[in-house]
Amino acid sequence: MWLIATLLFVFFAVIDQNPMDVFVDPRLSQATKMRIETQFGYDQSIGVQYLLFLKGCVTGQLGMSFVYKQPVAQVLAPTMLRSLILGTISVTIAVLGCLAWLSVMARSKSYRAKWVPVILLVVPSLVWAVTTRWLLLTVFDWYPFASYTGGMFRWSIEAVIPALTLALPVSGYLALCLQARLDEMDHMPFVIAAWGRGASQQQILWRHKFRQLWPTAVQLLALHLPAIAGGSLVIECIFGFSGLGLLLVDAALGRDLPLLSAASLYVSALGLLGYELGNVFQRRQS
Amino acid sequence: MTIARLSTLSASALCCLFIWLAVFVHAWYLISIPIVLVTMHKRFHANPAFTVVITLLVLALFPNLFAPDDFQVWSQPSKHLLGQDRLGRDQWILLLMAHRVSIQVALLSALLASAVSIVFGIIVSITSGISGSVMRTIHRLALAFPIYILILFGAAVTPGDLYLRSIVMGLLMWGEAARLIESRITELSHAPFSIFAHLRGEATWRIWICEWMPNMRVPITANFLILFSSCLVLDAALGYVGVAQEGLGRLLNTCFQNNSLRMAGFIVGLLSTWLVAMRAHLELRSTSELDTVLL
Repeated sequence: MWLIATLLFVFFAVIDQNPMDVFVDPRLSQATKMRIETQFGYDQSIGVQYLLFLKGCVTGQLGMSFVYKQPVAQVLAPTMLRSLILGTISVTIAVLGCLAWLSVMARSKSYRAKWVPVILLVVPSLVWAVTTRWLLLTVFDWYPFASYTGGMFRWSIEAVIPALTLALPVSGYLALCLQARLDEMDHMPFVIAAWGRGASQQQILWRHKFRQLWPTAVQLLALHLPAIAGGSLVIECIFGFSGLGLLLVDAALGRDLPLLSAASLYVSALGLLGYELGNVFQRRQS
Repeated sequence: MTIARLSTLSASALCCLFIWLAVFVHAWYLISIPIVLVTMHKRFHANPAFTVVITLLVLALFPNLFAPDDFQVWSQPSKHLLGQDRLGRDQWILLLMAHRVSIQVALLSALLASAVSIVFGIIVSITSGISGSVMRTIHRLALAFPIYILILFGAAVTPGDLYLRSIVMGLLMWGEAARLIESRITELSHAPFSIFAHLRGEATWRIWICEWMPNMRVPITANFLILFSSCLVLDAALGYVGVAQEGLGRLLNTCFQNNSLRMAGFIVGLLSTWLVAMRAHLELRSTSELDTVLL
């Protein structure tokens, strides 16, 4: 995490040397500009800024948001929760969809049956979301946009359609990967024994193969943990869902470096956690 | 001269003639004939997906051949293929311009990311000890890095500069591809022909060039196509959210704002055609090596 924090600091320092140039009116006096830079810590040398940044990473005090004028943690917390709701619902839909397709592909071994998850995987969430929104607007005359206020239950209901568009490619990816693993199991002794006992394809899939399969599924989902819990930029922008993704777009356009740094650290931590979880399940499987 | 060689030469001459005619008389439809002739050659196994990819690539890189009135947005009303937008601009030319920008960004980013991933994958696979651990740590960092947030920020800081945006995307998207290259090289190093080559006393550089590089062609090609698809979608997404100023995503957003739903459908169709055609090309040319790449 220290290496990631250092690399993030270097990246933002290289790309945007002095973000104050965006916020400070050039007509202000020099004294006022210096006071503003002091308030946000950009009057210090780059080394001191780096040490303050590391200290903020450890204590959780990552500064004030340039755009929202609040502590970064206060701005991020509610959006993280909403993105987590969106991610959880999308994973649930993806897993259910994947299981449904595995059940269909267990019955039909034809090559054509494989093309649906391939198309689900190939066509990105952007296209699904835009098409869904277009259909809802033109056919049902309905604007599926989320509200900012309201409790978790309302956010969950509003997250269903965005989560569905997010889940389609993930569902296709899971279905293809797990189907490949299932095909490898066809020559295993326990499968042959089950066939010998007269078990159907569905029974072999759910009672025998699935027990060997779920660590692979969890491993694949763990590697996508940042995408699941870190918000989706495009889906949240299309449907107006006030999650981490929409916040990051506003932060990027407003060059809100403290907010971007904090969000990057959060997503990196999720990435490392997902990677380690994936390794744990891979070792368990082997 | 054999009949096969004569027929190949004739086909090549015919293709050159059609291309010259298309450029000379500005008849864009003539380009489709050499494309079909080339891609239906037995070398490409009559792969229709490859035909579609090449056609779209020509459409993106040489849009002048397909636009009336020398690429003028404000052309004669009778020549508007897709109609006009609210401001009276030709939508077909707007689509060609946005398509060209998106494909240029995706191509440059994919080329840069492929190059970095190949170099890094080779270095990680051949180094060992402390330097190998350092390289692996760097690779793990690259995989854990929040690349999309950084690409978003990089694109926001350089909104109109296509080349900087391509460089930022290319330098950040090499992580997964490098893992693929590394695993392929590790697999090749343990292959029987590599062991026999070592036993014969062949030099390492000779084993690399004569034994390993020919076997790397398929993963590198598949890698590039997958990176290209990812960069194309990412550029469209950045344009849609308003971070990138040009491209198919930006045009799509404008169409929705202006309620030009038919034009939005064309853009979505074009993007989907690119992605499905590239994937179909990979699937139709699938070998056992590609299966491991794709999954």
